[in-house]
Amino acid sequence: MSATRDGKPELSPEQKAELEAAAEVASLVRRVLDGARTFPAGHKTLLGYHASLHEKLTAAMSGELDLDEIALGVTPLGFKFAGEVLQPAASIADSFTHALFLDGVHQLVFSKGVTPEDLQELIDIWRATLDGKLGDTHTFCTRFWEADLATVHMLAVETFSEAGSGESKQKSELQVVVDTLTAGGYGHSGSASSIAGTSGINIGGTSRVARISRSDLDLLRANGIPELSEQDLARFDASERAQVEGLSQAELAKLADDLAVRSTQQIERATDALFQSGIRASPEELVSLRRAFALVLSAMVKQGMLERLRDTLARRVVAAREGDPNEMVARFEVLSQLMGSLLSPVVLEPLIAALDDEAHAPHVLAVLRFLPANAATVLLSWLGLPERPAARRALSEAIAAHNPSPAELAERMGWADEETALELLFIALKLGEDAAWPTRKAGIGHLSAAVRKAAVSHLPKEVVVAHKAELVPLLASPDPDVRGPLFGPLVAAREPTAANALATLLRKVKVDDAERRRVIVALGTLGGPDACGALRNELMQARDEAIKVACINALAHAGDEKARPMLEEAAGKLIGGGEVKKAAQAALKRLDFLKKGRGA
Amino acid sequence: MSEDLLRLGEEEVDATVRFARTFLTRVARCLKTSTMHRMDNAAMQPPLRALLEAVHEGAQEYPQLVLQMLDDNFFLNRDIIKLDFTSYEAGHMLQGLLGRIGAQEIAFNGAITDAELRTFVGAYQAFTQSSNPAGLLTQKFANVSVRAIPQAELERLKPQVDAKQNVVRSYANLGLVIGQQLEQMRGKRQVKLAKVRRAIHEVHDAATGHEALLIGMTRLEAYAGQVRFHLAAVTAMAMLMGKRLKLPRAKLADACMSAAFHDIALDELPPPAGELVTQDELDALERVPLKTILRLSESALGGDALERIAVAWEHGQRAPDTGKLSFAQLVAVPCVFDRLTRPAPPRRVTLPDEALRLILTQAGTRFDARVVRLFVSVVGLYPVGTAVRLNTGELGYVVEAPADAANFARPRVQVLKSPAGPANYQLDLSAKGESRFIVGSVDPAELQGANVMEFLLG
Repeated sequence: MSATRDGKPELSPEQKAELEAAAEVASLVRRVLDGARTFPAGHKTLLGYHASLHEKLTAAMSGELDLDEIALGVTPLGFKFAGEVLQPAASIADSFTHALFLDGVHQLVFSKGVTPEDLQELIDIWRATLDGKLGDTHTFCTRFWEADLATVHMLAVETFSEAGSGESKQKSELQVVVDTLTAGGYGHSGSASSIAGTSGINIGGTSRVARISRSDLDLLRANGIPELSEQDLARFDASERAQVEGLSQAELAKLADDLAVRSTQQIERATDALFQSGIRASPEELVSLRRAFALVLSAMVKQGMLERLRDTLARRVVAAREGDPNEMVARFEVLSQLMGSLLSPVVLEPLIAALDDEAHAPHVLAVLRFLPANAATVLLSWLGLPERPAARRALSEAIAAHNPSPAELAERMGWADEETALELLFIALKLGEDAAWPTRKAGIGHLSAAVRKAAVSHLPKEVVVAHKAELVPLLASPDPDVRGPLFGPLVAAREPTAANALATLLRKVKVDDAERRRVIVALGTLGGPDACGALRNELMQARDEAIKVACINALAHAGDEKARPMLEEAAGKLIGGGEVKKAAQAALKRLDFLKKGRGA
Repeated sequence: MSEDLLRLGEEEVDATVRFARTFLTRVARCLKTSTMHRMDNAAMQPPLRALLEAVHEGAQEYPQLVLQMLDDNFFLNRDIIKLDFTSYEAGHMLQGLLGRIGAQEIAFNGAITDAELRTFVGAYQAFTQSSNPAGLLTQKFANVSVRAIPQAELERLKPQVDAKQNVVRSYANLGLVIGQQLEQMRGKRQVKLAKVRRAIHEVHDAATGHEALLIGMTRLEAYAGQVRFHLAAVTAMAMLMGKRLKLPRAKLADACMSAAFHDIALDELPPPAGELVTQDELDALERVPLKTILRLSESALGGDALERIAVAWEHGQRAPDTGKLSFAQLVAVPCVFDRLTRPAPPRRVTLPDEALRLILTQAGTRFDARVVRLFVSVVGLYPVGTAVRLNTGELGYVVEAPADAANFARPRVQVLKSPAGPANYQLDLSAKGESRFIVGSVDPAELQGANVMEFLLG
């Protein structure tokens, strides 16, 4: 082999062909990895990339070069083959092999007969590694090992490090442990216990296994394994149970199946574990227990197991009532931690977000019923989360059921968006009109017209009267949706202070003619100096004949003597003023009538 | 190269790895600079100083610093250096620099002085610029040397590990790694679960074909009662049971991870006061599952934490009547077995077959009967390392479990004492025509002085 000018050995034609094949494989791997980020799983283009990679590997190891395997070195910047880094990335940030290199992967080996499934699995693990989705439980190496691929293998740095016999600190620590382990042997130096009546056993032989004795029980207890009871002593006959010959293949398979099924029920089992172990928890530990419950419940919610969560909680309530009466208090304490953990943000946020899923919503609402009584405040924090109006309303119903504080509802109005504010009003109204008033009041000042309208809508007359001091000024509100609903009740209640507000309204707010007429009539009805002054002013300012007529009628109704000069002027007009003139004449007659009445 | 780019390659590594990378990088930079500047040039001083500092720092840990190169791998004192991006580049630069003089090794004695280093680097400079760069290999320097590694020695750097030694090392490593993670937990620091997982994988790979030796490792008296080696022993035994069940690797690893953390709170118990357990100790033991679960929860142990939490509780409970088992049952039996047979001193030790008998009496109630049978078929009735007496009066150690589970009571025994006196031969009690059998285990003290590991590893 001769050397080229750059010092690298000259490659044979076969080596060149292998290098080219390796370079192409490297390029195709990169394309698949990039594709997996760009396209969703199963996308036609991505499937095409996978197929190309598989075809190239298969071709290289069968027809073209007839290799048993293609082994690609892993460097920080790319694959390496025959001493050459293949299409190196411009930087490690751009490198698809750097994460593997850091994890200690030295080589990836594709064997003859590599399957598309194995390639797919490899890419999935690789992609997850690059995207940081393996969490702290796994690295590329551990996931790859557990995938147990038949046709793709790797060589990791640990494989090399085992060869060393060096003296690094870590290694010497390991060596100390190894030496200690192997030097100690099995000598117990007289410490072995002796169990009365058992000089040894020969299961499968002629001697029988001794019945478990009291000293056995003591021994178990001495070793902190107190599960055996006195009853156990009487019940067991070990000789019958000592059929311990190896399990058949069928039994092994059945056992493996049973393990597999149970290992999918982790959430229920973990909940049970927390619940049962919590019975002995101290107050401080109970606080930690709540966090642990939150961990489990959030896993349940995130996996969409809401129906199971509901059932789990229901079962726990039943279980807390049953069992040893001496532990009843402890069980309920644990139960309260379990239910309290529902309020943890890691549980509640995904739970409430699940309300937006119509299929899940009923289960979410069922779960929310398990919340502790003081849950309203926390729930209110999430009121803005659901996007569906129906989901928001359902959450409001749930919050209302937890009797939130009216003051808090009102307070939250201050920074609530329109949708949330409307729900706050809904919740407040569920509490009754008296309790709802602070929220209504806060809503009246909300930025949203819809909220302001809702805040004053359907106000019962007695509420209006009860809070007239706060409501009357709102009659002058520039917002018709606010002043509108208040108008009827306050006028009907003949609230004298309303006149001033209505006068302000007429003076300062641009109102349409129909409303103006209604206000004028109301002022006439209310009477008094403020009302009459406003009416006179309005009569003076008015251009519209109908308004003038309304003012005149109202002044007449109010019996305003101060209006007489104006009315006489209107009634004595020689030209024009048909309806106004008539109204003025009628008004003057009414004033005269009232004057006589007062004189009499 | 920008700082950011450098940082991208950073990872959390221990001080040893960090030193190895730094040292490699500084050697490379010093030699590289010498190819560009005269020794008295100001540019030459920083790399010389940096290298001298690194050598002196290393001298506090190691008597000698030997850098070796084989293919793409770099070794410091025969330990492979796990490279990051910067040290990878430096390593390849050094490979080229030493390649010019035909060397693959450079060694520094910790006592090196500034003058000695300058002499060597100056010579390197001179020889690489001469017509005979390899002539440097024939030169002698105080406290520095370079050489071409003979082929045979290079071969030794390649992964060649004695399979049985590898079982020992991987098992010891598992105990160490678990211990480190328990420390992390206690210090409220991030737990590196992937390290435990990787250690489990290594034990699995190393023990394939050497299952009996792994069982033997779990029985060793050293570290008896230490939580980390209790967890390692239970993990190893659960692993062998899972392997017998042909669990897929991912499931097997999950089961082992549960075993590796199943009662971590045992380390919160005070050391035993006497041979017998006190009521206070029993009360404290009752709280271990709760404390374990709370610690597992506090550590936010990743997505598969739920299984570990469940197992931490279930392994101490009676097996469910439904027959639907969890990994907890794979953990429960070896856990009880290990705690009985390897308690912390001065607690009384139960001999392995007696412990098995106690476990057998609870098969079908406390333990699932099938799991107990599985356990016995994996470890044998007399696990490797058990001192036994034969019906002939011969005494010895079990060194290999019988291949056929039906012969679980007839293992291979290293006889060390016969009625006639000291002995040294092995018996396969399951062999056809072999009439001898074990009558029971004996206190290993009767065989004191014998190093059974010699037979296990031999």
